[in-house]
Amino acid sequence: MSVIENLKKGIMKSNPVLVLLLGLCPALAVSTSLDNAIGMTAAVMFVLINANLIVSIIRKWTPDRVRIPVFIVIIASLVTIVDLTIQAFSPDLSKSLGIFLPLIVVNCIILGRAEAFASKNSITDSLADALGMGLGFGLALLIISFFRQLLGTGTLELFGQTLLEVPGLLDNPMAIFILPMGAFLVMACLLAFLRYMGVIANE
Amino acid sequence: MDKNTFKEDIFPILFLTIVVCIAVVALTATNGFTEKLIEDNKNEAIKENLAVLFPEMDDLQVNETIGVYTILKEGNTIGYAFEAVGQGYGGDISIMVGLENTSMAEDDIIVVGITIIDAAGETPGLGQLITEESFLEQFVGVNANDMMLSKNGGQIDAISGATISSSAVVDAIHDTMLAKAELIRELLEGGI
Repeated sequence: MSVIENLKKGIMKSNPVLVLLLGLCPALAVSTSLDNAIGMTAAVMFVLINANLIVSIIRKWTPDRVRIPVFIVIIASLVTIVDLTIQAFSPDLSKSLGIFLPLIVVNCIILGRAEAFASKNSITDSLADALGMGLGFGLALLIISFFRQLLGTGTLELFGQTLLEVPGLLDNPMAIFILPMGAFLVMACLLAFLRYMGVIANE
Repeated sequence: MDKNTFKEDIFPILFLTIVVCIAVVALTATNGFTEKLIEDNKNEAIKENLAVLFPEMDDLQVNETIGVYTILKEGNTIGYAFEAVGQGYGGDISIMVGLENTSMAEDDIIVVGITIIDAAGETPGLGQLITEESFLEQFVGVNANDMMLSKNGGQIDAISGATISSSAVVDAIHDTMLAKAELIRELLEGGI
């Protein structure tokens, strides 16, 4: 597969959240606002790209028997670096992502890509794969948080700027969409819609 | 030792050890680089919260043994502040509580005001309403004896739909203010 194909497959054909249904815990938990979605995506992308890069570089020397512990050590270190960096430079973001930032360690997208792709493919392909998967994760999070923030609070805010306000909703927001249950509702509707439109192929 | 044993048994151990060593170096470096910034951020956040409660504050004394900030203005004590932590709906809620400079006798503990330091675990639109001014202003001037939800005979109205978060805040403040007042009293008497 070419680099472009590797990049594209993560966004559409095997989007980690919408098609592979991986990494749903952070995707559903932090998708309450666009800011959170972007912050989470940036953190996941950093970890994913670096993990794929390192795993791909050392793939020829990594003994099969210890490959999973090696991947976990690499991923956990990268996540800790991101966590400390965000705490140092953006305490507000660190507060709103809370426990889900350190929990990127157990995000199956990252270990999944390391094991299924980066440990068997060249550095360029692994980077393209990570970038595509990261963008796909971000896209899914942005779509989910768009609906949740808009319906749940009546406004759409991005970095403190109000993008959109729905007058009727502003006074009586449908708070259920901000609650965890709303995440499942939005996710289910989104998957059903994408399937109906044929964007996601049926198995 | 034949070549097979090395490849099968020893190399994997060595490899994992090396990976862990590199990780330790990278993490130590990151920690060294960010530690001071994170500490500064925390102190900055505390100062900001205190400045909201005591706008006229010009100096601050930290009593680490009892966990109380003494608020000073031109060298005189104008009040005390401390952090209270309550068990909210989705994790800990931490609250900065300011007290007037009173005798700290049990019926003479008066809240200057409170600010919420961290309520990120609470539900947006429900539990996070505890950070709104309309909820926080209820606490101004409340005595320790009245620091209860109104349904329990106190002065604080809970937010409808967010009883757990509301009572977490009230209970945490009530319990912590009694404990801290006693410590402040001992401090003033020179006991600590």
